[in-house]
Amino acid sequence: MNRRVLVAVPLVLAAIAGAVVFFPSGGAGPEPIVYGRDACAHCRMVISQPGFGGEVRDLSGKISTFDDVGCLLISLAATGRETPEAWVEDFDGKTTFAPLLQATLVRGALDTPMGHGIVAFADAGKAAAFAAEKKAKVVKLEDLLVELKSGSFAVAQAKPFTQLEAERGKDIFERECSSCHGARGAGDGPAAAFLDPKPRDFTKKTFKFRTTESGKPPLTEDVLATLERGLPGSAMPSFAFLSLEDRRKAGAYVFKLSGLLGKPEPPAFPDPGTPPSTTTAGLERGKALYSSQGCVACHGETGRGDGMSAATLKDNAGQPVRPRDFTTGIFRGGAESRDVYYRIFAGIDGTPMPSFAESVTEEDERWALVSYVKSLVSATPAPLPSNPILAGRMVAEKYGCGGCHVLDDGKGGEVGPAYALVGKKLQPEWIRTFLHDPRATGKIYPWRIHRMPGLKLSEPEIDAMVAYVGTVGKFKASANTNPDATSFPEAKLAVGKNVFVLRCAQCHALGSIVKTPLASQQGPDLANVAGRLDYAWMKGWILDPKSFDPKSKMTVPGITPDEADAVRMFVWKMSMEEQTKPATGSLGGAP
Amino acid sequence: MRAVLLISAREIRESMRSRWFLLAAGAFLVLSLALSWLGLAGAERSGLAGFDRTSASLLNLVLLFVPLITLALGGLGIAGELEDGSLALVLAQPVTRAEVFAGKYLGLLASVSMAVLAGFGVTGVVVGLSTGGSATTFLALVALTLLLSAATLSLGTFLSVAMRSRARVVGAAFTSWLFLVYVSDLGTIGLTVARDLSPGKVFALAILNPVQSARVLGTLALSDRLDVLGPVGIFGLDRFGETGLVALLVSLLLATALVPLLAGYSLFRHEVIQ
Repeated sequence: MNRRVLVAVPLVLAAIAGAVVFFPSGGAGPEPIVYGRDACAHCRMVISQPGFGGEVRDLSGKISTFDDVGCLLISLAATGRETPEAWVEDFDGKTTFAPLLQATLVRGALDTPMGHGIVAFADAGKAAAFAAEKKAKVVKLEDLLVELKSGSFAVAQAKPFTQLEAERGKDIFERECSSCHGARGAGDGPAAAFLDPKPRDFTKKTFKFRTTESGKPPLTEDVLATLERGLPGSAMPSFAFLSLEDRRKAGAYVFKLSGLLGKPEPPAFPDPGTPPSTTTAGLERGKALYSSQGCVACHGETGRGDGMSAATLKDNAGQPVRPRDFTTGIFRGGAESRDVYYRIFAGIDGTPMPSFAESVTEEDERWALVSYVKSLVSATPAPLPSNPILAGRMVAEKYGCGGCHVLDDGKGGEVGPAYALVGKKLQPEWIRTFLHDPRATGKIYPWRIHRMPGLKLSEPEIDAMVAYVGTVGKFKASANTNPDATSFPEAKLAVGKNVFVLRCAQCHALGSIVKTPLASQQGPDLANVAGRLDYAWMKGWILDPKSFDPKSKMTVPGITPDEADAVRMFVWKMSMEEQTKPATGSLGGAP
Repeated sequence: MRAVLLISAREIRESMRSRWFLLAAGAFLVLSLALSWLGLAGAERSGLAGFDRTSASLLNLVLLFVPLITLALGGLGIAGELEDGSLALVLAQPVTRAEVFAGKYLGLLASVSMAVLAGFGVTGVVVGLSTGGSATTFLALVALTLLLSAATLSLGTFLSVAMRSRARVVGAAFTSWLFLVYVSDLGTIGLTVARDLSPGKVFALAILNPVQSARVLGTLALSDRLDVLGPVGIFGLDRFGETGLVALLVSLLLATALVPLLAGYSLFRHEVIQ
């Protein structure tokens, strides 16, 4: 008897537990939100207002609640789960739900819990009436999701930055921004001296790219837009790789440095609405305005930025500035018609570019001028010159490379490695891969504070930079071959191992073999060596690093050429093995 | 009926003579006194009401201790007497098997209740004299303890009948105790994390275990604050309402007291000593 009991009772219990666990979660449709208790699955705030939120039921039947339709959409776009069921609260019925796919979404400057400015209606007619009343728009779900997929969610009306965000933004600012803008935001970072245009001095409270009237501080969303888009044609990259929350924190810290945090926002420049379509007559009028308003004086007849007074222009810091060359199609504040409209009629503070809001008051005249300026963009950008040095200098100037790297003329910042060194030590193919996505590689030099920004170079620009760096480093193409690691003699590898353990492992990590070296100032992880460094160059470097880079901290006194050769083989072979291992631990590319 | 009472009285006398029982009752008394004293000492510093705080500590003690003594005592009850032959002697008297079985269960339940009440009584007097406070909470806790005792004692009795030897019963009783007190907790937590269970499923898993049902009931008696109650309790409250939840959990505990007892009795009637 007791044996049967021994088996039966636990079995029955296990079966019941199993049935509970695997029982298909019953119930379709949304569950009521408990206001004041349920939290938003995206922003983690407790849901308090009915009518704005929604629910998602994933495939396992688990319900997530949201306090704002915007939060729900961001979460849907980010998780990318297959066909979860989603419902949104009907703004009209408050606590009643409508399936997301059948709801009508209205977007505008609406006061929603998280400020995303989107509400949902079960009834399309009511949605249209509400949209008309609030001057908002009925939007399509697909459009919103596409906007979210592209990594941006232009918040209709961003909530003002908070003190808490500013406090948390300090670290992000110091890591991502201070190399150019300086730790105090005074535009005096280590890279600043070599940049043109100069990084903004936030303490002066002058901001160029605003949607507020000339002379007024920017809106929260202006700062967020600049962080997200970057300033094309300058060293300011897009920070879209940071999450929106992190961008908000960095922006909040910028406001804090400018003393704008907590101040009431100025009224926004009147919204120009959607641009009308371009007509021949409009272009004619735009051209006339372009001359009569004096645009020609600086931007030139053909918009090349070569007007009569172009060479004499200075910004509010006394630095020379050049008027925009419209033909390049690069517009710092964004190339959309609306962006150009704001630049012309809200002005670019701190530069000689005034606001033309007073002198051109008619809405259609304003748009005519915008369309004319945009028509000056030449269809095909001028090809880069064939001389690698000239082409490289052009690209370097465009992206402000000289702010962080010493260029071919020996000038430039010391935030990153000098091109003369880089051009000798790195393989061109590796540079090419790196430039395609600089942030993917992780941090190579542990002692450097700043990281290479996620610049988006075009294919020809990458080619030009690879050729440029190779030329500056006087790279010998013949030497750039990966050695055949299988031919390394065992005896040499054994010697190399000894040398590595005794001399190199003090400062250098080697993937999973040496994870944390002893020295406080650490060298790069040598697991990155194979495929990245030039094999021939390595020997000379090991023997005498100072001859390549006088500022290098690396020193291996008394090493013999034979030992250098052996340790080079050992490190190369080990790093090849480390690179083929599944990415774990220190090779995981942690930033 | 007289036979049931007689056998119960005999069982109580046996318990009083058993050193194990006295040891367990004494340990419970000492531990609950120590907890009350600590709870009161803390209350002076932090200014919290002494009664609820002590009750919270006592709840945890009860949830660990009551299953331990009842499983062991219930387990040893019939199996022990079966081994030393005294059960055969009792059965030879003019009493029915049902009367013997019921008498033994009720007698053990009475002994355990006395031990628990002694522990709680002294504690209640000590704490009540020092602070005063929510006596209803305290009484609810006492009632809950008796209910839990009935449930786990019934499990112990079933084990006793099913295993029929002291050694096996002790093994089974301690395994069951470990399962009730620790393993099912850990299993529920593990499954919740691994399979991302919905609150409803976690609730269902939790109340499979009578000790967990008692825990939710006890917490409910102590405080209806959400952070104290935890997700399982909140789900229960939302789904069934306070009365519904209490009724559900109490009936689950009563079922745990009845079902193993009836199963044990059917074994006892047909299989133990032909």
